[in-house]
Amino acid sequence: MEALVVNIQGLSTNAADLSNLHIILKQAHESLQAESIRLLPLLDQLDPSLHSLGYLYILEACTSAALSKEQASAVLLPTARFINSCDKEQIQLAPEKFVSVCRRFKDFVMQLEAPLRGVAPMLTAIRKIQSSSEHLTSLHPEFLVLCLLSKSYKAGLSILDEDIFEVDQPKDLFLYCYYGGMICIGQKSFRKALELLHNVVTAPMSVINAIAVEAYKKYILVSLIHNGQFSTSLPKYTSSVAQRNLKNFCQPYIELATSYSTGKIAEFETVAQKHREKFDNDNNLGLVKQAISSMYKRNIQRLTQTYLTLSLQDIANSVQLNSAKEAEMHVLQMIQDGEIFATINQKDGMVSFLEDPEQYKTCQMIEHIDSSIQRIMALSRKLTTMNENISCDPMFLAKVVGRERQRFDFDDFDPVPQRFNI
Amino acid sequence: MSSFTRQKASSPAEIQYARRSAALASARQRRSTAATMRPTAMEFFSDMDDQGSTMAMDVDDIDALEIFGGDGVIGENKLADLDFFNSFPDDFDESDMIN
Repeated sequence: MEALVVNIQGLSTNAADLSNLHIILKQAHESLQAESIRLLPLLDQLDPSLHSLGYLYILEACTSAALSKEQASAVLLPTARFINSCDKEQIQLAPEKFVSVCRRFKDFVMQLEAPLRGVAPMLTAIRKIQSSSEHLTSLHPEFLVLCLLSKSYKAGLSILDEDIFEVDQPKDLFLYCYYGGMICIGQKSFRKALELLHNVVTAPMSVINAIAVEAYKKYILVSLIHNGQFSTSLPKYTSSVAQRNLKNFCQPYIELATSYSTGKIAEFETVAQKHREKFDNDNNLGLVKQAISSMYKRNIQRLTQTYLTLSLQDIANSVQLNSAKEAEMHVLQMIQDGEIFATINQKDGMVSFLEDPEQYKTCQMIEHIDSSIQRIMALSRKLTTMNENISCDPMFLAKVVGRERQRFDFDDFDPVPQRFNI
Repeated sequence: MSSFTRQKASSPAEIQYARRSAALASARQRRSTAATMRPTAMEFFSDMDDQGSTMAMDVDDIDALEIFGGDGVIGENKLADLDFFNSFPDDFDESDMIN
């Protein structure tokens, strides 16, 4: 092992030396794995920023076996330091090992019940392994798990804003969108949450996926909260497997959505109570309660379409709240959240519903619309390029042309029309 | 419900009547606690949500995975990736935050 350390120290300076070092490290792989945690002291002789490739191999071997809590604690700090200071070019020579080390790092912080300690290093790891901001790595879902467990929703949002066009593994996309949807729910970005959960539900799958089932449950609830409605019909591009089977796994949620559409709070609460245990086991009871609250809001919003002014007592009676005071609390919250535009005259208990003051003619609004148009144009260009690439894909052509050929007889391909013979 | 409650107007004459009534009502409302109807707004734009694009993309009837080597449905009752991590506490219950 001492010889290996000397090699790492001497062969980490240029690309040619690193190439030789890599061969040596691969040859030493098995003996490194055999030593495992006993290799930890060797790391003190290496600089993670200069000797990143060698450091990676030794660190990966250190963490290969199952570790006790004390051992995990001992290896946590060196791993975090390595992730922060390692050389990006060197670790990209062995990306699978880097991902493996980061995954185990995530396991350690969870084992130590300290997910917050993993958030920043995992985000750094993503930036080091990504080929571009459009690249979804296997570390993205791991990072989002840590954000969810540590309730660091804002940190999670930082990578959810990036458009993804390159995926390593399909499962990564499922998990990324599912966990991402949960992050957005936590931040009350319901529109973005729906978009991400929709991606899971409609992603290609040959077998019904458990992640898609859980995503569909949350998709139903968030649809009710955000849109006040839910449709069971899925887009045409959804896989046939999902079209046929998703609803079967989510019957209590479908029943809940059906009762929501009646607008009757008592009926909705009855269904929620009937399947309470199921919702609780799925950890969705909180969202169900938010859906109940949203019904009150939806009913109050409906009133704004009919009335200019209305008393708090009339609002309470109309939406089945217990008192004018409760109605006032709901209206105040909705005003604060920008869900209605209104003023409350506390002297006579009258609510005046106002028009949306947005005129859509401010410079800020124009910039917002312009940037949206630019983004859509860029997406359209990207989609056209992807479509062209897929159209030239040999595997795609073999399948499609093969199918087309089965429909025609040999004579259909004869270029000389027989009927024109003289 | 207040005795001043009215149904929404539909024809132009009714709309005008409703607007006049609303204007009178808003003058009255300083003294009374009557609910005031909102004049019906003309819907210039129908709901833009969920409308198909005029340049709809052609969607192949063939399941994408059948093109790229998938063998189609293997077992519709089996769930893939059943062991994925989903043990999060329910952090979305806001009932303790109300009032």
